[in-house]
Amino acid sequence: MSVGDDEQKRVDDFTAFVDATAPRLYRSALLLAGDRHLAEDLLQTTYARLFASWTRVRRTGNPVGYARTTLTHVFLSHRRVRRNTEVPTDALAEGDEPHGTAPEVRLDLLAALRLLPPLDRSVLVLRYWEDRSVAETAADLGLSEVAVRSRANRALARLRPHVTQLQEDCS
Amino acid sequence: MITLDRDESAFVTALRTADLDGGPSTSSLVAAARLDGARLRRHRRAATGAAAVASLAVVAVAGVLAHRPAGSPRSDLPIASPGTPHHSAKADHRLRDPHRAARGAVGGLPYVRSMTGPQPTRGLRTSSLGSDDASAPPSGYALLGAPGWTQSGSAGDGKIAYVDGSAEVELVWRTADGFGAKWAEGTVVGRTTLDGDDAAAYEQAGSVTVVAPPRDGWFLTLTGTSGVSVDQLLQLATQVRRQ
Repeated sequence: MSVGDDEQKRVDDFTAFVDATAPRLYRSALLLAGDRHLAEDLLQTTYARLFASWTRVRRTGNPVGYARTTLTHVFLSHRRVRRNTEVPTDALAEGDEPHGTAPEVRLDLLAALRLLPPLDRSVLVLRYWEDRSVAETAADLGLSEVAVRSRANRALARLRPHVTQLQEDCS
Repeated sequence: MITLDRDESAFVTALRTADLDGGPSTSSLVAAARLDGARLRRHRRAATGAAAVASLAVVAVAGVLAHRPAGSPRSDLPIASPGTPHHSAKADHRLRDPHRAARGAVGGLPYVRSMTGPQPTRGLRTSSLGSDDASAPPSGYALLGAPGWTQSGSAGDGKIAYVDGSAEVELVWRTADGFGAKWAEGTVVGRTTLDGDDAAAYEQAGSVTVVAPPRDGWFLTLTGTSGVSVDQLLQLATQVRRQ
């Protein structure tokens, strides 16, 4: 088999992976970023990193988990570079119009998540959206399990009034 | 009083009912990943080469020190002192080593070749991705040359952030696949030039972004991320240069 064939096979394999994982990973990115444009950028950066090491990623046997962890790290490193230029606010950003069946829920949830520090947001997304265990979340984020639990508790308590309001609005 | 379990349950319910659909197409993601990924690999190879050169320099300095004559300044340093049992043993070992010449017989550097490894050739593309690689933007992408603005870092592989006091802007390279669709919902709030090309400024989601036309499958945006007025951003855009 020639080098060109190997490369084409690699690209085809990667394309199939993107096709299978992009919708789910985009939702995770959207929950982390709270903004569609930033979510797309995070997703693009994540896949670029994966593609650059695709053979090695494949060898891990869990490329989906690798992608999830990479996305979280990309988000957190992006946040560090931005150096808190994003100011938490209760007011929703104009122009971030949703599309779908429950726009109010989506907007309010994203806005509420944006109130949280990035690491707390990552903990919630990994724990309750990605359904990762406390131990797995701790390993992904380089935290202790105690830190994951306390951050999750604190973040959920902070979200409590917003989530309660969401439920009342929907009912 | 609400319990933690109820908090968790309420949050999970909110997640399940939220509409999070959308996102870029697979084809655009793959195209972007191939281009960005190829560039990443080039950067990694270049970084590996630079690290090897730095290591070589350190080892070379150590080698020079190890071969100073006995009367030279600072020859009393234990590690560099010829004549000490340690030094003599090492030197003798090198002299006896039959493989030394094959590994690069630079004085004091018996492992030079194995440390440097393959180096990327300057001026040649090192990616094996073929035609896609040819349309990748040059490294460095673009620079903002406005007085007072300094680079504060890069986010991801295609972004450079600049700061001037509390103000911050971000230069971003994006694949042309997203050109148009991404800015279609925005409102044009001004026009300027970006590296000589006519560019429009869009207001979207509370921020203003100057968008340049695509070149070679890529387009450049300049976004005011903090403390920058529209007029300032339009002026700054004229001082961006593609590389």
